[in-house]
Amino acid sequence: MNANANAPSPHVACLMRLYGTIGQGDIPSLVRELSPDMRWHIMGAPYLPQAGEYTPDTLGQFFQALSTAFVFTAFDVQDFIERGDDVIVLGTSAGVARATGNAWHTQWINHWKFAGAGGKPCYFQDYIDTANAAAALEQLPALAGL
Amino acid sequence: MNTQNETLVRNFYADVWNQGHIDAAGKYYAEDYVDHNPAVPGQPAGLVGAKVVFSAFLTAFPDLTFTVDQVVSDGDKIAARYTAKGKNTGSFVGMPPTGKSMVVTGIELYRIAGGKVVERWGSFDQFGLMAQLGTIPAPAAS
Repeated sequence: MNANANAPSPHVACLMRLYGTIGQGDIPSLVRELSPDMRWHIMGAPYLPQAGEYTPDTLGQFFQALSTAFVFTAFDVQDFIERGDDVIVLGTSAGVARATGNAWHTQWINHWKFAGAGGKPCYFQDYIDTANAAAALEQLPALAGL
Repeated sequence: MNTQNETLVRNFYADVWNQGHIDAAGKYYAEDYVDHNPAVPGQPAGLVGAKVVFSAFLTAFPDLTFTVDQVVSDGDKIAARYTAKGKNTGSFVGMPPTGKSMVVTGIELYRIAGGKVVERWGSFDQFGLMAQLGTIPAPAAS
């Protein structure tokens, strides 16, 4: 029996470390783990304040916008689906929109790409329920029930 | 890599979404599949609910086309990134048709057992969809 049969792959181990870093709010350590040509994509532009495309140099702006708009009360990583240099991560998060006090809960799916074996993450796309987030910010009153 | 699961998922998009064969959904989805992220208000459970979703979107966008941009499979799980395009010529969740076209990207994650989808998670830019249809106002200037 292989004692390492359940050990995470190098890519998954890296992402587990990165999510822990994010949870601690240690953005400089996160950035050091990313490829210099990393592109970080957040959907929801121009309505959600944290939406846009970021590089390692501008990633701090994303976390600043996120923390200005929302207080997070939960952030759970549930599963990793990996093939080659692609890793899909499933999770949930919950919080409150600071401007409105509205609670927010969403499933999220992250797509990461690595720059080859032993390489660093070079691509990130966050898929979230943008309508849910916008409703929490009361950007979307007519669709709050969708 | 699980090529059988990849084939199942690719055939599902081609058959149900792109050909509009809603009645064929049972070939791909288990009767009691669990949808962790219901896509329409009041979506019933299981395969019946999946058909409600397919019908809602295909009624609103009769020319709806899904392009599977990438699949990532690992054991019994498979993720599909897609781009969906269509023109809103039918009623959509109670809203009248707008006549506008939309392009959205999204991702769906499936767990497969017994050759069928038994769990689904998914997310797409719903806000982007509504913005393209013109059913939400432009954001306020900051």
